[in-house]
Amino acid sequence: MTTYNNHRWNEWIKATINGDKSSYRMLLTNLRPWLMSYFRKRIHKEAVEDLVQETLMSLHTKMHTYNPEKPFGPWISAVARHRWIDYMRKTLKHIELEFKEEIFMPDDNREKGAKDDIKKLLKLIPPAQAEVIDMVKLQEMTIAETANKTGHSQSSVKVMIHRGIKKMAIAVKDAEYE
Amino acid sequence: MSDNIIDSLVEDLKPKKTLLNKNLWISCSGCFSFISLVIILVLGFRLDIQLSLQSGAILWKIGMLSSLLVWSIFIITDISRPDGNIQKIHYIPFIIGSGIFIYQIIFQSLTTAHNELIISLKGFSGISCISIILLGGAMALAVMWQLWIKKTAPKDPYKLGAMAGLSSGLLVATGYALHCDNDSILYIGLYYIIPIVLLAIIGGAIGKKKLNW
Repeated sequence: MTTYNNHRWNEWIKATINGDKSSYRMLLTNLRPWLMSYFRKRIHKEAVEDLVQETLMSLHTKMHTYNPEKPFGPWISAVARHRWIDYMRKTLKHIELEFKEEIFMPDDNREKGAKDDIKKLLKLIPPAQAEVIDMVKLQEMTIAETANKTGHSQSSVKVMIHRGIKKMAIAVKDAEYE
Repeated sequence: MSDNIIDSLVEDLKPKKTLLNKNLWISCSGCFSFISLVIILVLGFRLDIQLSLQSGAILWKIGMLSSLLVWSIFIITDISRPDGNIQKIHYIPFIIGSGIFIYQIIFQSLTTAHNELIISLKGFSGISCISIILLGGAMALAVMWQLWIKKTAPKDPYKLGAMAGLSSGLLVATGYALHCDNDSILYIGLYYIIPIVLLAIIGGAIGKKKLNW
C-alpha cells in the first residue's frame, strides 16, 4: 500500500517523539512502501532499497526537527527529496570524475542504474550537450568518435560534456527548491 | 533487509526534544544581553549618549541593526528544517532595516560635507570596531552553533551557516552600537559591514562542511 496517509502518520510520529516504540514500528512499516513508490519514480530500481534505508535513517536521526504542530507528510517528503538530490549529486560527481580522469567503469548493475538516472536528467539540458553526453556515457562512444559524428572538435566535445554535467547539477539543485 | 533496519531503529528509539524556535530566540536574547553588558562595563556607553538620544542617532543606528538581526533570526528558524521555507512576512524587518540604511545614505550625503564623511573613516576606531565585531561575533556564532544550529537539518547547509554567521555579527554590532559614537553611514557601511560579511562567509563555509545530513 503506497497511500500518503497523513492522518495516521501524524498520530504515530507524535507518539514516537514521546518514545512510543510500537507507534514508531507502525510508522516505519507504513512509510516503507510509500518511500519505495516515491523513489521508483525517480531512480533506477537497484538503488531504491538503499535510498529507502537512508531515508529511514535520516528520519531517525533528524526526527527532532519535525514540528509536531504541522503535518508529517511534507516533512518526510522533504527528507526523501533531500536523499534523492544527494544521490543524484553523487551520481553526477561520479560521471564528472569519469570524464576528467577518462576512466570508464566496467558495466555492472550500479553503472547501468546510473545510466538510467542520467537519461532522465538529459532532458533538462540543451539538446547539443545532451547529445554528446548520451553518445559518450550512454552509447559508450569515445570522445574521438563523438567528435567525428557530431562535427565538433574533441576539445569542444569535452567542454560540452563538462557544461552539460554542470547544468544537470544545477537542475538537481533547483529541484531542491520546488 | 529493511525489516532489520526497522528493528534496529525501533530498538534505538529514545524520547526526543524537538527543535523549538523559541529556544533560538532565548539563546540570541541571552547572548545579546551578555555582550551588551560586557561592552557597557568594559568600554562604557558612548560619551555623547544624551546628545545621541536627542538627535535620534542612537535610535536609528540600533533600530537598523536590530531590525536586520531580527530578520536574520527569522530566516534561520525558517530554513533549519527539511521542509522549511522562508515566510514572506519575515522580510518585513529586513525592509525596515534596509530602509533606514538607505535613508541615512541619502540624508547624510545631502546634509554632511563629503570631506567630513571621509574624515570619519580615519583613526584607529575602525580597526577596533572590526576586531570587536569579528571576535565577539565568532564567540556568538560558537554559542549559537552549540545551542541550536548543529541540531538542524537544512535543505541548504551553506545558506544556514551563512545566516548564522550574519546573525552573530549583527548581534554583536547591535551591542557595540551602544558604545560606538561614530554615526557616519560611510563608517557603518565599511567597519560594521566588513566583519559581518566575513562572519557570514565563515559561517557558510562551516555550514557546508558540518551541516550536511
